[in-house]
Amino acid sequence: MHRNPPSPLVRRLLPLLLFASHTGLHIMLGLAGWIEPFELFNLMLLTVGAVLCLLVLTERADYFMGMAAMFLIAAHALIGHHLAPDALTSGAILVVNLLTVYAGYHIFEALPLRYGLAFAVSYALLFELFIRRMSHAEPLFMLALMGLAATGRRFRMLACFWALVLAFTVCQPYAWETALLFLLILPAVFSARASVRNPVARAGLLAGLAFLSALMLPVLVLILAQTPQSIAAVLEAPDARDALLLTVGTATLATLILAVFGIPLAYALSRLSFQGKTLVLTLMDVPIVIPQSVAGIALLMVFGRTQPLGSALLNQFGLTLDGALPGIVLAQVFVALPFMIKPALAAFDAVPPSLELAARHLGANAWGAFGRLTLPLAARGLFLALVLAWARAAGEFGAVYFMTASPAVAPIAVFNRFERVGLTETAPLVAVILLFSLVLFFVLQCVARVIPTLHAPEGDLP
Amino acid sequence: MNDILSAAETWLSGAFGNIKLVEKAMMGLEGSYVELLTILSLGLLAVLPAIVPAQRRQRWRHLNQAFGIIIFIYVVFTCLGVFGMIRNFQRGLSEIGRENIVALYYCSVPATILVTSMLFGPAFCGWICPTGALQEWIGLLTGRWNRKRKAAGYPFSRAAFAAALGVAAIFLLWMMHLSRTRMFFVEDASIYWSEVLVLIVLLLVWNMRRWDRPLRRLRLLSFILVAAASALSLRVTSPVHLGFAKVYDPASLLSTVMVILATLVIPRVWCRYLCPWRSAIAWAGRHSVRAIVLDSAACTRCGICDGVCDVDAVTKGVIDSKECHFCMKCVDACPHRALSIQDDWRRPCA
Repeated sequence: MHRNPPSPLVRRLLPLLLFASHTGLHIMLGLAGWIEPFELFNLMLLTVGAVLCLLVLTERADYFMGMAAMFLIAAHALIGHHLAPDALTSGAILVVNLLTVYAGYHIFEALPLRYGLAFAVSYALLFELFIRRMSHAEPLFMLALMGLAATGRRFRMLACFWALVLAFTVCQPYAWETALLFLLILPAVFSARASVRNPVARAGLLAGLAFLSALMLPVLVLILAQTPQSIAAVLEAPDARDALLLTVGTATLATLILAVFGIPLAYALSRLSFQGKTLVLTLMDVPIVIPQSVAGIALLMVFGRTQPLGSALLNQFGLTLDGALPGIVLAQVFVALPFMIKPALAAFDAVPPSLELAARHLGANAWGAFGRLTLPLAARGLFLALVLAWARAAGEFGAVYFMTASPAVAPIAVFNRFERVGLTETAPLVAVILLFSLVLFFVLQCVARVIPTLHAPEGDLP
Repeated sequence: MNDILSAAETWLSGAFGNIKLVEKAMMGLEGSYVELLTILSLGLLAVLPAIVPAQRRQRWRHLNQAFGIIIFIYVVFTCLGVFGMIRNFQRGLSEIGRENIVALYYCSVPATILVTSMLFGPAFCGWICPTGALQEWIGLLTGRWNRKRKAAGYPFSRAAFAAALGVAAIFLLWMMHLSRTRMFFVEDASIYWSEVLVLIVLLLVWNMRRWDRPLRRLRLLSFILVAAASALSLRVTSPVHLGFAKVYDPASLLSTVMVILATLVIPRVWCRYLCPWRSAIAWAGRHSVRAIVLDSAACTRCGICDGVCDVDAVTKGVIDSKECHFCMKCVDACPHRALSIQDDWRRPCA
């Protein structure tokens, strides 16, 4: 955008007119008692106005900026003290207004029109938010205007600015959490690239990330609310510590059992076709489909110590399932089964049988082809299956609760503590569990990336 | 398993037991308008670099720094120092919507600095910061000596290394003694900061070329440390509060003296390696409208600008915006006027 320069006469006349009206109104309003004519602040503004007028007339200051500054100064001198509580506040607002005009003028002039429009709309929205919606937020309006002036020249920065403003005003109780989420979302949205311009996919990304972060908010709130002291206090409590240890132990045992029985089954399902294979594959999903409490009761009806099979186990082997550790493991194995089998099946499916055939042709026997070819190639998928199964087993509440409520695994310990002492006291324990799981999951994911696969970029395998 | 857990637990309670929590926000002087004055004066001081006449720019800069010190003496008394700045910014942001005046009070200094850095370049470091000014003026005393050594690539004699080693050893022994005879107090933090400074100087005296760049990453580390401490509401004491900051920081005079002594050896040592705010200001400065631009057609690669830069931000006219303090010494020193200060509202995001 380029403005036409005003004619020389207007150029000379306007600043003089502006300054003359400032002086005239200063005297008139001073006589009328509306302003204090000899107050230091007002005199200062009058002087600055005169200096600016001279600068504009001698063309040492930018014409438009100089005029805008003179206008703002005159306005603040004449009505500022009636809007702001005192002279200093009025002066501060004046300075911030000057800054906004400075930035806005350059944005309108140097950048495409949409930036200027975004600036103006942002100004209006900030006014609405801080002056009309919030009470006593005039000082914050100043801060926000400064931020707008600094960020208005780039949409990316403006978006980050708005994210912070919204996080710290509208989303106030969870300000830091929402700010964190916003600042994770925005770079993703702005850095998204496609070979062909694709606004639909971009809108989908924005909406999806917003949805995802809304779901992540509780997790963040829970973690960020904790202090090292509260976490240390949790670790000192014996019941919480025992529950954590018990969970880790039983989940590991359950995962081991699943690995021993599930991986061969997955391999068989991947390589063989047999009658009823579809039925078997469908049965795998049963633990996902049925509610966890139902699963727990079903297990109890068979393996409970008063039931035929449970009592037989107790009498023959001295093995108690319900109310004891084996019951926990059994319930965990039951619910984690599909999380083990399905990914393992997919991992084995990704290894072509022709490779095994080639190995057999080259002299390997069936066990060798499986152990030295198929298993290593499926290793990453199998590892991820183990991680998923472990996480599912460690997180199980319902089925374990019906089998063995005490000794309590971590989810049950959380439930018990919540029942006993309420929400606030439970939060640190939950945060510890959450942090523990997240860190473990993150580490395991990192480990999984190191394991080579068939499609590894290293290229040491076909 | 239980042993490990109990050991971890003892470590945790030991590590956090002695660190105090900040009980409540330090209140400003009521009705003092400290925040408004700060916004006005800091804004003015940040705009001045572009307005002052270019002929005597460096003198104007020193005058500006003097005003900066006066303002910060006033402001620091209400505890908005460099370290407090990060903590108070966090506190101020949390107060938005509850106590808006308090929020403005805590946010005013950091917000003003960040905003002016994004518009007018990171002039805070070179033109206003009182800690920077302190080091700058020490540098005036040793300037000629330092320029020669800088041109020679900072050679240090074996005697200098031995002296630095001796100082570091004395500090280490002192800290060992302290840690055996008393508990860790946050009040002692400036002893630890001084120790870090001494170790940095030792490394640099040993091999400045090797360690100069890697050690600058410590700035980000100290920012993260202070920010994390403020998020966990732990108190981290500022080492550069010049002793007058607060009664509960008796040792800060020590670290101020250490900063002064280290500056004698290596110019701007605090800004280069430790200042936590510097990483934030450098980020804002990289997105700044105003920047020092090189006209490569006019530049003869003579390297005069390298010589005048206190923080080694210039190499043959090319300015590293991560390091630049916007002191404009290079602009003034260039005999071919190849460096100029330019506003570019279209400058892309870095």
